[in-house]
Amino acid sequence: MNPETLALIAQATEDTPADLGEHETETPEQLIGRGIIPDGYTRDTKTREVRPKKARGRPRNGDIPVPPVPDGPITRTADVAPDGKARAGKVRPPVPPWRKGVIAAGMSRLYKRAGRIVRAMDRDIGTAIMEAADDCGEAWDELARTNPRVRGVLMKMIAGGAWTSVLMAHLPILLAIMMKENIRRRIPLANMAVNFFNDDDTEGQEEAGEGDLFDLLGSLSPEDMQEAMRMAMGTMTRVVPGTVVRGD
Amino acid sequence: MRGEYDLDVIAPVANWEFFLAHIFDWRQDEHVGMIGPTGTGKSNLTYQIIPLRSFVTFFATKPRDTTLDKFARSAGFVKIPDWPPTKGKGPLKRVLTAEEMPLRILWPDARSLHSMDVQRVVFQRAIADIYAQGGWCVVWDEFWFMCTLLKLETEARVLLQQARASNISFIMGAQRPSRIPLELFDQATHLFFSRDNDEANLKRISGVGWLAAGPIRELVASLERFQFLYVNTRMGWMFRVTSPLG
Repeated sequence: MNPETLALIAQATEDTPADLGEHETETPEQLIGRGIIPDGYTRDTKTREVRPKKARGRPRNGDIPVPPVPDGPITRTADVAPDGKARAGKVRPPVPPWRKGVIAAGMSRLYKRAGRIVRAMDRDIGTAIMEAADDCGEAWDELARTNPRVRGVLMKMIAGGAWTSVLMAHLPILLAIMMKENIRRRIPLANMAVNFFNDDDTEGQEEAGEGDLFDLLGSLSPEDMQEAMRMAMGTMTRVVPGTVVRGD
Repeated sequence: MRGEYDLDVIAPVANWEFFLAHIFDWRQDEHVGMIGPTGTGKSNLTYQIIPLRSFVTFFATKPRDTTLDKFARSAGFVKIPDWPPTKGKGPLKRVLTAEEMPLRILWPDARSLHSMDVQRVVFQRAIADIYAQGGWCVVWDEFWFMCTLLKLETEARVLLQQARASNISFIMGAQRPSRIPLELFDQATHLFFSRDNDEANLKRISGVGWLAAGPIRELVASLERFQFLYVNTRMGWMFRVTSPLG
């Protein structure tokens, strides 16, 4: 800063502002008594009386603060580091309310579609799936009524999408594998499905790639998945009596 | 002396080194706004004050920017096209921490006229993470472009109003004081105005609530080339300052 400027600032901060003059020692009441409206007061438009302003209002030109002469250099503190582990959570849309029959009809449609696909491979099982479609739809509807997370997933499945189509296309393969007794005995399919959702490491999920599949199933907790698996096993025993899927 | 005030007293001229060392007390949780027509040195001023912060993410929007490129090289910034920055490939891939990459220029590909959709998505992802993590200094050199064309006005308002508590500071540069969120004036602790003779702009600047209209108009209209009027909105102090060329 120029020495002249510093001198000007010093002078300005030491001197009494000229425009205040004798008013500086007078109270607002005294000023009002002399017919002067002090700073922060106004004449009421209705009563014509001088009263304090409701809001202070913008400063007058003469009120501009004069910057002080700095005492010394600014002491800067080290920045607080960002919390590297904090990641913005994905905001999920609210689950639509349960409406009687919507999920039952949708799931029944999906079962019938699956039945048609399976029938190409095994006529009896395919037909059985199609015949059980309505009952299965009702069962899923009841589960969706009590569990909003399952309801959210089912609503997305009913609405369709790329992943639903992919899952449907792989149904015959999945069924062929699951129908092999040796596989059912050795591989705990139900637990595998539950464990798939049991990973709390959200960062890992993101790195694996958040996509439609996680959008579709990611909101399910392990408990939800167990409940859904029980339901699915129940419907499977209706389709193929005597079916046992190892859960341990 | 003009009217009731002396411009040299209410807004003394300070040299840059003195300004940085003694006057510009910019804390981590304070926002900085810069208003001035193009070519008046806003970007240069940004580059001069950024080194005061340790963790910075610069949101770059232009297809090409040689000045920013040059600054990035000299100041140790890393250009990243997507958010979050990662290291490694396949299963070894992981997100870099703020300490590993403290100075970032987030620069999604903007070479196409229709790049804005991609830019918006990338920027939104970054803003969400930055908001969650806190501690970052966010730089929007093109505040109007970000708010209006990239439709990030809501995010800007949230950052301005809510992010100080998370130690996030926000540097905003705008060519005009109009058609941008008013929070820029309300929430920024430090404001810089460069010379502007546009009557509408002067009216807008002098209309900001806590400023005395007359001197501000006079000061902004009479600034020298590359000179800024600095206003500390909390204290009401004003200085005139010229940042050196980077």
